[in-house]
Amino acid sequence: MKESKILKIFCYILIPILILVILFSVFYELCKKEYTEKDISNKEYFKTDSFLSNYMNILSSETTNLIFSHDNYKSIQDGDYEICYEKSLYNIKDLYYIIFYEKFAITNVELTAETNSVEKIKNFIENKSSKKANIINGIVDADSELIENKAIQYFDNFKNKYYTIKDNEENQYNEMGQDEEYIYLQEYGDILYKQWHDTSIKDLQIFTSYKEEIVKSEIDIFLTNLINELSPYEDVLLYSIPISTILLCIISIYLIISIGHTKGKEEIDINDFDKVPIEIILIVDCIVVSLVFIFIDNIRFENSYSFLISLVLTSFFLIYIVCFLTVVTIIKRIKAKILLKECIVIKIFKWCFGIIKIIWKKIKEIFNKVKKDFDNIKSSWPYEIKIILFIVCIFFMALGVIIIFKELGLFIDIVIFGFLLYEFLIDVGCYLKIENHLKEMYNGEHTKKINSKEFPKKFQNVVKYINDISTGFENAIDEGIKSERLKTELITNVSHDIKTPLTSIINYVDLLKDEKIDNSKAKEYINVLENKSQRLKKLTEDLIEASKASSGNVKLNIEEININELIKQTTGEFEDKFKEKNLNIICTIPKEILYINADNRYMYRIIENLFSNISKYALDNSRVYIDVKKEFGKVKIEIKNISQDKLNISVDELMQRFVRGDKARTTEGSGLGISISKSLTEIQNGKFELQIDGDLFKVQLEFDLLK
Amino acid sequence: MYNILVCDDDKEIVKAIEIYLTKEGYNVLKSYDGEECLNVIKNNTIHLVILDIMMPKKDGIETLSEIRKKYSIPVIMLSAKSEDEDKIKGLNIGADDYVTKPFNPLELIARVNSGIRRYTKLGKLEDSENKNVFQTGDLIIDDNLKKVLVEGKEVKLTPTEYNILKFLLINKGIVFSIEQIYENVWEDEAYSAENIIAVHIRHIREKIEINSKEPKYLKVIWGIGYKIEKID
Repeated sequence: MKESKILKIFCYILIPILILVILFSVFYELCKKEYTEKDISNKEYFKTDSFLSNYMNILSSETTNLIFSHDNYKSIQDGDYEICYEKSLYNIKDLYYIIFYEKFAITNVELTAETNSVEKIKNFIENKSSKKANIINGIVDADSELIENKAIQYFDNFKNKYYTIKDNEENQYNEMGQDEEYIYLQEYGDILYKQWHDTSIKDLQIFTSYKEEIVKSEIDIFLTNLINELSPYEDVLLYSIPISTILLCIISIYLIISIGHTKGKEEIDINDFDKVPIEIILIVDCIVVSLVFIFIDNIRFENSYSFLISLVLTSFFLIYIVCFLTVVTIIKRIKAKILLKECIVIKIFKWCFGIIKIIWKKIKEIFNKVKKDFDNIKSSWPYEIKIILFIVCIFFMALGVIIIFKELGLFIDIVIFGFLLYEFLIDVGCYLKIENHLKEMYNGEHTKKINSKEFPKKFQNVVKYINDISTGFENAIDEGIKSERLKTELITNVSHDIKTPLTSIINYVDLLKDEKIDNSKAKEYINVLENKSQRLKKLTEDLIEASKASSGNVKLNIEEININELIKQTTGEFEDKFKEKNLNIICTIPKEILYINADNRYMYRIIENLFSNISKYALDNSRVYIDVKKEFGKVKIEIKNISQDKLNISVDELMQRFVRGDKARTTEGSGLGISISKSLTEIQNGKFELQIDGDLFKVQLEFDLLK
Repeated sequence: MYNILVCDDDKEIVKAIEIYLTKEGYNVLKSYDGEECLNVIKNNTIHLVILDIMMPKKDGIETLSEIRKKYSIPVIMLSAKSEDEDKIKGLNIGADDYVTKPFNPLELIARVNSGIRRYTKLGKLEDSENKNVFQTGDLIIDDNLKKVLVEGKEVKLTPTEYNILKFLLINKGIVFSIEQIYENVWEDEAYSAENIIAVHIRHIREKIEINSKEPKYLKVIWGIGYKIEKID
């Protein structure tokens, strides 16, 4: 049933008919009261609401014209007044009026060749007036009052009623008889007056009159006839309302369900029309509907009511088709879920939302960045700038207080500032004391304590912490010194204990060597023993030295030392050893003599150890560079050589005690040389730096230059 | 025949020293602690004492001070304690020499010889009046004969070494830098002395000193220069 095309088409045709029936029935029900209950032909038209409405509209539009644009009227001069003529375009025939406002008067008397003067107007009015009117005899002359009076009399002739509005304050209603029409007029008059109220009208007078014969409009006649003809079918029309409405609902529901479903298709049937953006369709709808209404509104159909009806029906069907197409496509779109997709507003909204999202993201990014930068700047701002900013803030706050409280504010500021300054100075004093103390601690006086009595209460914690740290330091240092001393002592003692038996070994090996031994193997063994015992001796000596040097347990005999001399002496000492390995020593010493403060024996020990390493570990036939340089108040001794073995060891490891370049420890040496040199250099306030770059072994010594 | 008293609590060391010294023709007396040592000195004519420091009953330092109260015999301290403080302490109390353990037997013998010679021949300098003879301790240069004597034994030096040693000995007690030595010995301006002097001095040291690493006469003051120690 959903897919039945015939049924749908039938529904589409049925809907406008039903709507028409409903509208027609409702219209009938609404109108029948007015047009049937009272006999419209008997009723005086001027007693109806529609008359009053039209009547007052005419008056109001004419007075507005008079006030704002009297230029449009053909006019003739008459003394103080300028009388304008206007041909009435309005539906109420036989309605006459003259409106006075300041120096102008307006009337709907037609200006013809006969009526080119006030006199003629008067005549014309008199001639035009109905048979019931008593024509005033007299002349309308330059006297405006006279005109007024004449007009009153003139209008009075037309009908038994007229009405004027003078101005607000006087509230002057010239009543020429009490009748129910007057009440209508008064009500409308109020409305009229209210419309003019803004223009501050004074001296506005309206004289108006209408004929007794004014009859109902033709449309009323038409409607009355229609309703009279329909009255026998009144019941049918009455019942058709609910029936049609129910039918309409059922059809609508059916259509809503079935729209979009076609035979043999699962999905909603979407054509190109359904893809046109909904806004465009709605706009086109509005234009079409508006055009129809404008067209109807502007057609004059005074006589041909059948033409009017056909026109209205055509318009109705046109509008129906437009609405039908729109509703169908909307339902289809909703079903296919593309209503919003094809919607320009949604698209624009989505696009805008997307852009806003991107912009928001950017703004957020920028904000974050700025915030980060700001934080960085803030944290990198020197203390002084922070203080200045703080002071500026305080200044403005103080200024604010002064502005708000005037002289009292100044006094408050001074008191607060005095107090703050006092507190601030005390704090600064304490701060400086603590800083000084920390500086002393930093410079080595770890054990010094702060006197807590010198500080106010809020600094007590700080003082306590610092003193605790100091105590901790003291204990740690004591412990450190103690344990280092114990270690040195232990090593020294052990070494001594080793030395005694070692002495015997060395001596008896030596004695054994002097014995006459024929066995060649025994001699070889004795040689091994001799070598190893000598090695052991060297080891124990180095061990003692290293432990002493690293613990700083060394007495220094500081004197001025000539580095140039030292290098020459030491290279001289090692010349033979270097020659054995055929090492080429390239020694660069500046001509200027460089002095340092050091202990000459330890300086020799440092260089000796390094040279001894070179003579042991440098590659045969390679070059050894010894450079002495003066740099920024320092003396630098740089020793570079190429290692014969691969240096598969890190600098840190090499600096440790008992570590040697060859991990197998096959060569001679204790592995303490570099450690001893480093310790001795540092004891003498020097700097010992070791660098390994591939096979390049580089040692840099740095001492303060004496001037 | 000189009597030498060896005092050490380690019997093997005493025995070894005895063997060396007997070979050199000395008569060796043995003791194994301080008190015994003092007894032996009291009961015998001793020409030289080799004294260990760390001993039971009475240690070397105490024993030495006891000895010095009555005797002026040369004492060589023999100790495993190799620190400077120990050496200085020993020498201050009255030791004539200080040898650290483990020692080189030849060095010990040389020092014993030196001690005996000084003790027995004190003040009997040969040709002390000769103008061309220069001396410090047992190092003598006879410029007339171009001879160098160390503890009575002649040492062969090259002419350059001889000149350097002679210059230093004439000015004994004074420290000279490499340049100064060069200028004075070569009588020329030092422009590229480099380490020639240093090499020569090492060679001299190796020839005249018992232990060239701990020289007695030709001392190296590192970073300053060289000097001949003034020994009366």
